[in-house]
Amino acid sequence: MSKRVQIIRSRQPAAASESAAGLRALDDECVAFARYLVRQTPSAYVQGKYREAHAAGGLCQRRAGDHFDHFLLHAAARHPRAARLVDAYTAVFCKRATVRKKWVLLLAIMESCGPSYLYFDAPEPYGKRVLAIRMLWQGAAFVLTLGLAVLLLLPAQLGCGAWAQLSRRSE
Amino acid sequence: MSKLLIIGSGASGVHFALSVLRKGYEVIMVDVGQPRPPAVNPEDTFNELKINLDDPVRYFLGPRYEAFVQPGTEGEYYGFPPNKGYVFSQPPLYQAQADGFAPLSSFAQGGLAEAWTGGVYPLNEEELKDFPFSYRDIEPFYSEVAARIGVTGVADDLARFYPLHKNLLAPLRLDQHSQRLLTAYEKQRGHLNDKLNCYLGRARVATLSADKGGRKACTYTGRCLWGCPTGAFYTPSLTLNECRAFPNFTYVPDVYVSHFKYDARNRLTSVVAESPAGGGVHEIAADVFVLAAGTLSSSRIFLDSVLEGSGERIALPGLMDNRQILVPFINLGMIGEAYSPDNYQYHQLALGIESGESGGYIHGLITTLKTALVHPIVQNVPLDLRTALTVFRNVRAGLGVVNVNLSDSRRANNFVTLRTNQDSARSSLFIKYAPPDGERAVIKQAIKTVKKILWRLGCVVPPGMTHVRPMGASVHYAGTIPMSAKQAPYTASAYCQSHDFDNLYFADGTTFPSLPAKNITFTLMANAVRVAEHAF
Repeated sequence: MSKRVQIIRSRQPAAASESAAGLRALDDECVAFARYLVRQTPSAYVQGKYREAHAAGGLCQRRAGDHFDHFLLHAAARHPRAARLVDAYTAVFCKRATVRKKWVLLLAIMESCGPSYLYFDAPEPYGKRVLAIRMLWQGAAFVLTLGLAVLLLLPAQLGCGAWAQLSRRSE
Repeated sequence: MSKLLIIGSGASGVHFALSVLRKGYEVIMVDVGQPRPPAVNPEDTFNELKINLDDPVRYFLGPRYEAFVQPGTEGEYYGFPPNKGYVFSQPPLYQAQADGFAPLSSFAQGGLAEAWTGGVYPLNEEELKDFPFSYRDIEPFYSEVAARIGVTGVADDLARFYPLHKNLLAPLRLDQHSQRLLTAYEKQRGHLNDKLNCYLGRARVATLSADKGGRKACTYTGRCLWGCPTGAFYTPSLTLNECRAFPNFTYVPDVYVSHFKYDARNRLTSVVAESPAGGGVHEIAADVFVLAAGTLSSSRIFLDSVLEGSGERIALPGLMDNRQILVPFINLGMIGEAYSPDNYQYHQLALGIESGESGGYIHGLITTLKTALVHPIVQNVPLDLRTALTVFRNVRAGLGVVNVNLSDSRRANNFVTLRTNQDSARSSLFIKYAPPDGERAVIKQAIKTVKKILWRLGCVVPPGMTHVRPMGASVHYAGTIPMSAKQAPYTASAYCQSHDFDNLYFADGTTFPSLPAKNITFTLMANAVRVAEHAF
């Protein structure tokens, strides 16, 4: 075990007390999100820091009773295509969603250590003109994805909201 | 010789102290004095830290992830380095409330300038018109401070705004992006000067481009934001260390000054102080007292002294601060180029805009973005995160931000006073601030002009990312006990001697009668030396 990983493990008594299944789920989530965001499998050190940040409390706590927030997180962790839709939707409509907090946290961790920081530093290996066209295309793709995300996720958000209201009334 | 007691170890306090120590005075400096943590791996570059540190995430994000900027945090693009957290750490004894103002205070050794960006800008004749002295009077002290701290600069187009004093060092090596902006300016100079009244050139910065005294020149490790590990970048704690070498200097940290005691002839006799961590109250006597705790803390001590001595709860009007606007930009010519973190990280270029009708001179600092944390920026790009990150990587080398500063003036409705606390016997400082009439129009015009300038330089401003910072954010506070030729209550003489207590001097921004757009730290230091040289 590397020195970095040892350090992380030794600093997380709170995390250690959680169930092994919970930790495994967090590791899986970290791997899925890293592959989605930076197309890399995270190192053991990054996974350890991801766990540590969750154990620190408050940073990425799920919003209790917010079914839509849970749904977004679950969907994003399941499949990269779903993650793409959730990403576009939360960029505009739910900036404080738990899944977005977790993504930004993972970016913060990965930009702070080697070798993952290299991904943040290097531009794509294309000429200026190709890059400009690619960025225009990426912008257009974002608009299209956002449109699709609204079609699929807005009804889900409204449904979850209505369900939550009904549940409150029946209590 | 008189015994002097200086309160605070910030930029003003340490330069005042150094001047009087050299004259042989006995000096006691009392200070809360949160210490700076030691530099880690001083030889490593910014990126080497990410590889060589055992726990780099702890270094860059903090043990409690305090530098992690969560989504939904409005408008700030800068994760504050955790190792500089000590600069803004507040002792529980100090309490402040504010309306229309976001106050920041420092109780660190070296004060707020431990976290400054090194901008060193002398005020010119026009900017000193409300002061009871001219540029010629203060020029020797600008030169003296430049010799002490090391200031780089050249005579270029900005010399029309920045007077040339002595002891300037050659400028630092320019990074590629700044060089490109400067080249673009040279091509567009005619239009920018004539149509937009804009001038651009090298910033004046307090960083060594050559070895000086015991300090080594900048080695371009790219760690400026994270605390210069070599001392090439000036902070007041370096001068504090210089003061400590004098046998006639006593530094007393871990002291929070509550108020002064004074006699029937309004002469101060002692300060009443306590340990910020709790513990007994004690008094320290001296012959002359110097307030250098920063405008807010100095005002608080003054207010508490009047309250304790007379029972009167007064207000000090005229608080000022610079409004700051952050205008991020992308240099289109730099798209797709590799970025290099191994450069000086703070602003290397500056711009000045002569704005005739609205607000006078506008001061802009151009920082080409390099080693700031990425995640606070990426999350503000109006795209999904994955696309935003890809776009960011491609434009990173061409990212920058113009920090636009506006001037301020003393107004009666902006004041500091004391308020009784519901849950404690101690009063807290209360700050009330409202921006001047017509400020919105001035801000709008300033943003429009800066966007036009950037466009001429080959840059675009991404929509929705310009950020008007709240009042208080620039931390250039001044003006609550102004220098005044008239001997009125709660004012000071031209040499910053209190008109209320004749053995009290002010060495910080408390006495500034107006606040030009330029960063005032250099003038604070020069004025402190001016007062020390004249009064002692």
